[in-house]
Amino acid sequence: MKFTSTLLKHNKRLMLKNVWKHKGSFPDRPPMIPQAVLDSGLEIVDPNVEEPPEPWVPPVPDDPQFKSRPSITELPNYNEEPAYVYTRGSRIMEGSKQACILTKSISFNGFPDTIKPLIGRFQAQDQDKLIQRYIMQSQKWDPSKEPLPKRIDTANVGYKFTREYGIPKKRSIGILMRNLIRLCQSTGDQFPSILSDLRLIPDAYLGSHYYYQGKLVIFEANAKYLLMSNQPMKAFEGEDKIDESVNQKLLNMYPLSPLINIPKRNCYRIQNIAGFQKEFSHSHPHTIFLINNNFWRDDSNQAMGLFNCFGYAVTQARKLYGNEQNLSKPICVQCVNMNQTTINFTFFQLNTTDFSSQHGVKNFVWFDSGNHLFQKQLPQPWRGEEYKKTYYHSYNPLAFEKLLAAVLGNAPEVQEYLDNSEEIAALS
Amino acid sequence: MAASLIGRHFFIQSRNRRTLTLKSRLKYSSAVQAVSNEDVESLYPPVKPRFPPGNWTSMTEEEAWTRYEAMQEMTAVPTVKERLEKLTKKQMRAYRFPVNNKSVRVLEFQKNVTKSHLIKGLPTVYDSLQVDSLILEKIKPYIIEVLLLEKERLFRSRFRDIHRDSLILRNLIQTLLPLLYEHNTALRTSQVDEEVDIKGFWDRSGFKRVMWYDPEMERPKEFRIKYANDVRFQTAHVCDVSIRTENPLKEFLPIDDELCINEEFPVLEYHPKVFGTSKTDREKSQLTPGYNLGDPCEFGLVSFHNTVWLDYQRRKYGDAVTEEMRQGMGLTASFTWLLAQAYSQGFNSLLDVTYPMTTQTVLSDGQKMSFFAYQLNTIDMLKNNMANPRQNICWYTDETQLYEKIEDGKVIGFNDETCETLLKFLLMKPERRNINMKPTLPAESSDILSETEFISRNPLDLSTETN
Repeated sequence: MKFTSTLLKHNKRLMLKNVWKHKGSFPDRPPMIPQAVLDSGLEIVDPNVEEPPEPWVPPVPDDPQFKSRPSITELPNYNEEPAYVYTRGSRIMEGSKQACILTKSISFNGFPDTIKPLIGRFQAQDQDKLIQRYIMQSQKWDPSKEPLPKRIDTANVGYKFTREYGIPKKRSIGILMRNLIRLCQSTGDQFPSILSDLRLIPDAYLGSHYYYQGKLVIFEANAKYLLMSNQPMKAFEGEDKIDESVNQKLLNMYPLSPLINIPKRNCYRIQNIAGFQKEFSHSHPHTIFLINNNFWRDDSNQAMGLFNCFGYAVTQARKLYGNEQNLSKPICVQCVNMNQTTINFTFFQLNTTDFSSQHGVKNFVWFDSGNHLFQKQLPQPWRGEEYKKTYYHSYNPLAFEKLLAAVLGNAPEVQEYLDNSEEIAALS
Repeated sequence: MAASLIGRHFFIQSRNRRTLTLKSRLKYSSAVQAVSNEDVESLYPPVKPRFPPGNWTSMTEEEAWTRYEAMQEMTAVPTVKERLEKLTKKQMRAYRFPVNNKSVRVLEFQKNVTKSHLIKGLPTVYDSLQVDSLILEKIKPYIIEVLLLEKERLFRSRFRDIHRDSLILRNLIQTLLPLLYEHNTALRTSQVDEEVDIKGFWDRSGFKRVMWYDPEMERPKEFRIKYANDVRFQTAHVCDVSIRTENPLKEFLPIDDELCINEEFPVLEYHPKVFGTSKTDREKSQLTPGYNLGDPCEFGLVSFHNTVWLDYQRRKYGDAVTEEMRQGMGLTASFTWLLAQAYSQGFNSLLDVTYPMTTQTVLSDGQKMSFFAYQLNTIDMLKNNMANPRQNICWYTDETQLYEKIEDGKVIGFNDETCETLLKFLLMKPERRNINMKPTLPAESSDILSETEFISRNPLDLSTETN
């Protein structure tokens, strides 16, 4: 007999599939243990059941490399009640308005009246030449070549920029700030008190706290530079204005709490440090210099400046007056925060440390933001050949003159200098 | 022409020797000389002399001519930027020449490669420079205050302790500079850098290197490879603080002085690999003098470097070895900075410097201080020591203490002499030299100081707008 070709054509695959479908299941039946074995009393082990592995023990007990991370409760600064911790990164979304509510202060625009007339009255030697050099040093002449973050232009969002190498933002602002401070100090031959009365401290630490309506708020910050003075700053406003402030009303952001952007933490320390461990002859904070290494709006940065001023003022008040709530002499601190192109000023006057309610005497704050030292046009290659390089333009020394006025505002020689210059102007 | 005549004469004398080929015999036959002696216009081009003009002692003809042609090409390039691009265009492997060299007994090697001579004590210029006692009294309390602030009073987190030494240096300079403006007017217009990169590269003869290798060449095996007699060195260093001025410092010694010329230089028998160097990848060489081109302050006044790494070496090897390491660090740090400055003036390893360049260096860890003064006489290291007998000079002092210790908020044993030398370094006055500082470049590039407006006061107006 011979199989025909049609028979041979049988589809093996379908056949096997069918067989597997109906007969392919093999039920796992319990093992058949003979009665004799059961009777003998031997220990029976099922080979199909996997034993859980033994927990691994390090060969050396207390080996630090295998030590597990401590839990939050084991950390040294752990507290059971959480507190609001304000650090560099916490961005206040509502900006200066929210900061004013938290610090119980009334805000004004522009410079305070005591410093405003000083703007433009002093000039450093070779001012314009040197500022332009410092700008160019911070933008172009510094040799660092680090990969910069990828750029996104709002004018053409889909455009893919090639990777750029150059000076990082933080370094660039640091160079400009350091040099501008040095230029301010170069007026030392006219105003010797800028060298004798003021001390510049790099990388100053601030650890402070206060109670906002019974809730603990903690400040932790690092200023790039801190100017300390040997005498307290003069008040920006007199006692009349302070008494008037009782009738003025604070801003409100009900139903939201003003603490909304400040994160809660269980690990914190209640500190009272304004940069120093031991006592120092120049113990009054004068100016805080901050670097805006971020993409925030000016308003959010001004809020940061206000919080820094507030932190220093509160620690100073606690040091001078203890737990007194109404200060006999107000404490004044000013802050300069800088971008690559702009300088912002904050002036703060602490009149009271009573934050339990929104009534009573208020503090004062002055904001002066958006002072362009120069402007920068970044390359936009899709617009044509001319737009392929960076342009620096609109140089304006007014921002530096404001800085100089703020630094020199408290100097004792200033009044004499102004009187003399007025006399000379009158004679001519 | 003298060299070529002598050469020809030598060949005429020895033409009967069997070693000479027929070709050379024809080239240097007496008939050719007879024609050239007379002033008759020859139909043939003039005979190429054996060596190009210049001093080419102990170099082969081929080497000398290739080098001469490279020099001619380099002089034709008009700007510094293009010159640097030309030098770094070829990606090649270089030997890393670290400033903080942690290998033991490498000072001889460092001296040889940078071609410099070490002298103990400072140059004679510093003896005549007297610091007024009034300045010292005025500045002393400020220095003491900075030391106390950093060591005791300021609150620093634990992370900052590591960088405290460099922080002290930075803080010290920042407080001292405005105080010294009235005594040294050059500081007023100076540029100050912090934590800035300083890089440099140069070619040094005397070390064998494979130039090219082609295994498929139809030649005997020994001719498939070609060696070159020079090696590239690359340094990279981060300087803590550097002060640059518009005008250069004065020279410490005239360039023709006996000290600046030395023909008997020690010969190194070992490979650079032995002396704590390692090879880089095949990449472009890098050079920065602490600023990009366009900065008007091109000349270095003082640079400050911290010596934190030496403490560990002292524990490891002892005082004698660490002392050598310190000298080597001061030497290489000063050399690298001056080398990079010379490159930005248009010079390079093909075109040697025409005037000496000088700088000052301070090594410190906040407590101990040592001072270096360096004069750069040559950067032409491609030539043999015989052909280029000039050498660089480095003066150095011993490590002295600024103070003994700090106890209970007081600085004990403040050393006035160290403070005085530090002030001398800062008060050293740079002067404008009455020579062309960029002789190898066209005349337009020399007046960099005349530019005062870098940014216009008007808003930007790019009138032609295209899509």
